[in-house]
Amino acid sequence: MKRIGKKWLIHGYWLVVAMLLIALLAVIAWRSFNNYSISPWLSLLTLTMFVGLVWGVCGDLTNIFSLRKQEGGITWCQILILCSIGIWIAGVVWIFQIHKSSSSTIVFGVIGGLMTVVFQDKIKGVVTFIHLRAHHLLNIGDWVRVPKYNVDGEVRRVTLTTVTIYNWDTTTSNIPISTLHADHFVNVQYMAEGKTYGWRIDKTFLVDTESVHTLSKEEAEMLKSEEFNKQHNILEYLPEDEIKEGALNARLYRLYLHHYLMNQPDVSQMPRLLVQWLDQQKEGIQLHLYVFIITNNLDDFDWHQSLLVEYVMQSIGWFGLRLYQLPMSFDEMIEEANV
Amino acid sequence: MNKNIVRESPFEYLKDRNGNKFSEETVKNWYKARVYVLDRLSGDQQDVLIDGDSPLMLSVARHVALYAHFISKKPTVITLVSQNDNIEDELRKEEYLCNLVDYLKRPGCDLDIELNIVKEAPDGFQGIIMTEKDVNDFINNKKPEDVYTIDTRKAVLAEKIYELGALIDNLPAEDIHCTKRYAMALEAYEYDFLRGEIHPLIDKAQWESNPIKVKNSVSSIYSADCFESRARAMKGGKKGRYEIWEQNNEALSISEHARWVVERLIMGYRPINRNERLEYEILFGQKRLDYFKKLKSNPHDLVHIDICSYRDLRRIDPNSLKYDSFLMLAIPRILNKINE
Repeated sequence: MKRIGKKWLIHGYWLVVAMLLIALLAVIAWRSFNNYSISPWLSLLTLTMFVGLVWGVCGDLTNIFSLRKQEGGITWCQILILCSIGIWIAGVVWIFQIHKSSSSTIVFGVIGGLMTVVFQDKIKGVVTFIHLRAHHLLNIGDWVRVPKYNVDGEVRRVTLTTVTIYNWDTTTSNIPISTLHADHFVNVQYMAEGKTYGWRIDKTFLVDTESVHTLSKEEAEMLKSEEFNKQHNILEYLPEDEIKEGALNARLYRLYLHHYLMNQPDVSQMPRLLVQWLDQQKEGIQLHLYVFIITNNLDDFDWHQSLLVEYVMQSIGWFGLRLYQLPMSFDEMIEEANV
Repeated sequence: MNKNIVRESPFEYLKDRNGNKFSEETVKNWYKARVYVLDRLSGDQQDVLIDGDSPLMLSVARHVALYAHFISKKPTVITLVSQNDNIEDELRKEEYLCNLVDYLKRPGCDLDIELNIVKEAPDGFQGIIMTEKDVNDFINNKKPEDVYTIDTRKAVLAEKIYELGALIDNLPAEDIHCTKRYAMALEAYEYDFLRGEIHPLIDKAQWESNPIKVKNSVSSIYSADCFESRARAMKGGKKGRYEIWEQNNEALSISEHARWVVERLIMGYRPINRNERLEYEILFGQKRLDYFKKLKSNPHDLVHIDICSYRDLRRIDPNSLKYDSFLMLAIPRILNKINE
């Protein structure tokens, strides 16, 4: 990794904090040297500023290290942050001379314990609020899903204790903010704004296995014929030498659909585009499509999804394949009547 | 820094598809056309009329196509006046517009320039008119070293920014205009990449033997030549020094990609054809990348997968998008470095 620019280590506000810290240390050293007493609150302020400085600089460095995939510096930053917390706790114990024999320590300990139990939800809420906001994991207007509470909608209000979500079914949900820290939630906002590779379509079609066969000479010629291609233009998406007598129609259709989708202006070739055959079942064989649509609009995405389904229904027949449908009782009745 | 201006003559090293260097006259015309067109296009976006089809004027057309890229939804129309019925064939030659002529005719072509060939100059043309006499008068008033050599410092720094783009590999490739992270990368690494002496662009031994390296470096020169016009477009407003570049990053990147496509087509590259497309679409992972690499490294038939619209680039090769965005954000830093 290239050396980190020095500029970042002396980034504006951290430089100010560092200077203040040096000034405070100078005051403490001067008072100590002249045998003046040092206020524990001054010591606490100095210690807190030191920890804050370590946190800030390590946070900035973590952001920089995150720009590359293979970067070990992040671990060291997190270890430093952890050490600074330990130093802060040890420092507070030392500054305020907290030890077992002190009676006030016991009183403070009991009160502290009780308060923690009584206000545990509030404390968790505050921690979660800071965590979510500091890391930009949740903003007003974000589209979120919380599966545990069956919540799916837009964040309208975030407080220290609750999050108000306006659901797409026009109801409103209030959930404890601590849930978003303890449980799984999905922030869909980036995808919704079109800032990802796209919206995923994951569809499976059941193809009647009886319709899978190798092409006859006539079928191969028909698929390559000018007249057929004038109508359906399959040669634009299928290498001509693949279409020959004895070729499997299921393979040709998979190839065709793959190339067709690769060339659709709204379909992303990244991160992956799959057209594959899945398990053979007693009803037929599954054709699986895994496609990302580039859009920033839910309705547009649904529209494209429908277009894709319609296209499969339309084009599958060109290759002699058939979608499977379980015979309805009506069909069975007709069959019985015929018998 | 101004004392260390590096002036070089890179066009002499360019070779055609057959590996032959271009004629001395062609190279001279390129130099003349470059300085003239850069000077004439230094104002706001305007359509251009090129009156004449001599080799010099066709070189002017080449450089107008290379430099007339503005942040605007309206394309720049280049009108070429020629009586020659075979002028398109002439323009298709490698020393002029090469593959650009046919690319501009593709249905749905979304480049930011248009080419219009006419027999007579239209009446009341509103825009910049370029004539051979005008070009020669302009060149005669210049010192030869200002015409036939190029200050390559900006191009060298642009290449360094490309290197930086390659180094920073955990950027959200898909969320390309999330400029916060790009800006952070530039902040963090600019001292490593932009500090110190600027070395010459030309490495004689390498340039003589590697025509693709020459094309890539000349590409950096063409890109860097547009920095000033981009900087002019970004001036104004009360925004901070870099903030306005970040806010306009998307528009700048789209414009830069269009410029890059034009430049590649002029330099002899062509877009992928049907057979190549059908071949790569069933290659996956590293095999696909290797195939792209193979296509763009054959000096006799240069093909680049990224010669497509910006929208298609996003769905076909999103990892390349960062280079445009990075370079556009780096322009003010490069210009500051040059003007130190």
